[in-house]
Amino acid sequence: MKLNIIKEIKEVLKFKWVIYSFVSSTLKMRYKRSVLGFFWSLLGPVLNYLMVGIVFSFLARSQMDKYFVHMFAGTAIFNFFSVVTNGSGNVFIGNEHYIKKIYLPKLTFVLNLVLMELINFIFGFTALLLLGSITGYLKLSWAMLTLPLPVLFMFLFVVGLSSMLGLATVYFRDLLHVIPILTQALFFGTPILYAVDMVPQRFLFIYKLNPLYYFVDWFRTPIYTGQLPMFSTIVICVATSLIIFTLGLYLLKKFENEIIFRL
Amino acid sequence: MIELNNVTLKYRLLHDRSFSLKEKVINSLHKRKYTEKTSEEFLALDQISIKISQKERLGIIGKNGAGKSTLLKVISGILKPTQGTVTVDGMIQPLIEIAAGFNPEFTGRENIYLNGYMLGFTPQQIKAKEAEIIDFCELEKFIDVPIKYYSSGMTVRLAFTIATSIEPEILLFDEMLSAGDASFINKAKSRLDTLVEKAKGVVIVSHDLNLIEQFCTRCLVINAGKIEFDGMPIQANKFYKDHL
Ligand SMILES: Nc1ncnc2c1ncn2[C@@H]1O[C@H](COP(=O)(O)OP(=O)(O)OP(=O)(O)O)[C@@H](O)[C@H]1O
Ligand SMILES: [Mg+2]
Repeated sequence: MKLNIIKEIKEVLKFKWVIYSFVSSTLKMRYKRSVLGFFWSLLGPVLNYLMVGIVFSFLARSQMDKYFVHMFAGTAIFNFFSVVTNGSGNVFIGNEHYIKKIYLPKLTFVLNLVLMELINFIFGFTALLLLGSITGYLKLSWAMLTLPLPVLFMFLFVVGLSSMLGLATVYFRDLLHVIPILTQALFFGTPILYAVDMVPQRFLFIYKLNPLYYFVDWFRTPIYTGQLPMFSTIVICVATSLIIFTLGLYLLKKFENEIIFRL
Repeated sequence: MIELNNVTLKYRLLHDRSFSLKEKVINSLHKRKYTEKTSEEFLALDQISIKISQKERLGIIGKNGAGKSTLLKVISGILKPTQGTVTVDGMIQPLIEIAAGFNPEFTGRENIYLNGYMLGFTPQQIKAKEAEIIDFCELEKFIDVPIKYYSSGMTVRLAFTIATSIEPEILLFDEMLSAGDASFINKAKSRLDTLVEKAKGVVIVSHDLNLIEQFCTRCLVINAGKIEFDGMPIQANKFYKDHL
């Protein structure tokens, strides 16, 4: 079987308005019934950061404001990864009623999820960034203008990954329960609440097998230090995301006609 | 126009559709193959070959579970046949049940757009039709209410109106009017008339034999995945009543 990525993307772009409609209506729905609406999506993380920040800066005996920035930047990008991954088990089995009755490219369902969370992430992150710089916790820097790049490659990475996880869950429903546990473990296994230099040297190689280690580093460094990360970090992220993206699309193409018989 | 060549479709009948990992591990520990579980197949379409030519209006009738909906799904591309080939020449609508593209959480208006997009429209095109759709289905008061609060008849009205406001070259309909009330059905039938006139090809699945006689020029009787009769609607209905 051959995969023509351009063709796949063109096919799904025919349905761009479907995706638009799903994403915009779902976002509206998510906030409609609560009084503070969108502000909850900001207030939630702020309170969360505040609690974790107070507890951990005490435990880690690190400087509070420095620590906040480190944690906030890492958690923000990791959260984007984890909400998508946790939702990915449902991308096909949760859309059974559409899949059985309408022809839509299966990638549409993946993109619905990823784009919705991407928008959530961008709004939430930008608002917190502004809040941080107003209160003086954060210093804006030129390096931060490069942030769309790690987000873009993270996007490709999670599109591929959630295609695979969604597909796998059609065959093994247990994954619905397993995936959130794994992302939680990955969260603690990625230097977010603690700094890399707190990791004992002999364990470091295990950390470096984790792709999230690099994505978090790429995203956090411009915010935390105002500099760009090491070149090798960027290369690893770009390569990983392109491989996972291609593999995800390939597997989706290979199995997409099987999905309907397994729902 | 539409050509099916030896189309066979098998469903897998799994009592428990997905295997849990636990089962898989236990099975492999016991060196049991799981083919014994997966191999239960159900033949829903059995070597169907038909040719539907331009301007033909095909009706499909048959008992519950005969394979009618499955046949439409194969024609529309929702299901890929296990064997055989399907060739469709012309723009086909990608959904077969009219309310299929609805999200119950969305309002009527949002669903008009969502459904329109699924059928391949742009926002401008839908906007141009929006007023006419709302007017025809007589749901002005409820159009901004999530459709989960609609009655089933109201949902059918909206879905029918949307589905018939697009004009694909090939129309496929599966039980389209099942829950509408008498006054709406009359209105709907005359709308269908004009739509059918314009379409290049029409395939209608229905249990309403009168509807089939009224709209179709040819009719298939399907039973257990096979074509039992192919001919004029009146004769098909007679065959159906006599034999099945
Ligand atoms: N997803 C599925 N998995 C397994 N079997 C299925 C599936 N869908 C349909 N079947 C089986 O295939 C057969 C044909 O189903 P189909 O829906 O095509 O019938 P139908 O002719 O449309 O019936 P009705 O008049 O009730 O709508 C039925 O026996 C049904 O049990
Ligand atoms: Mg049916």
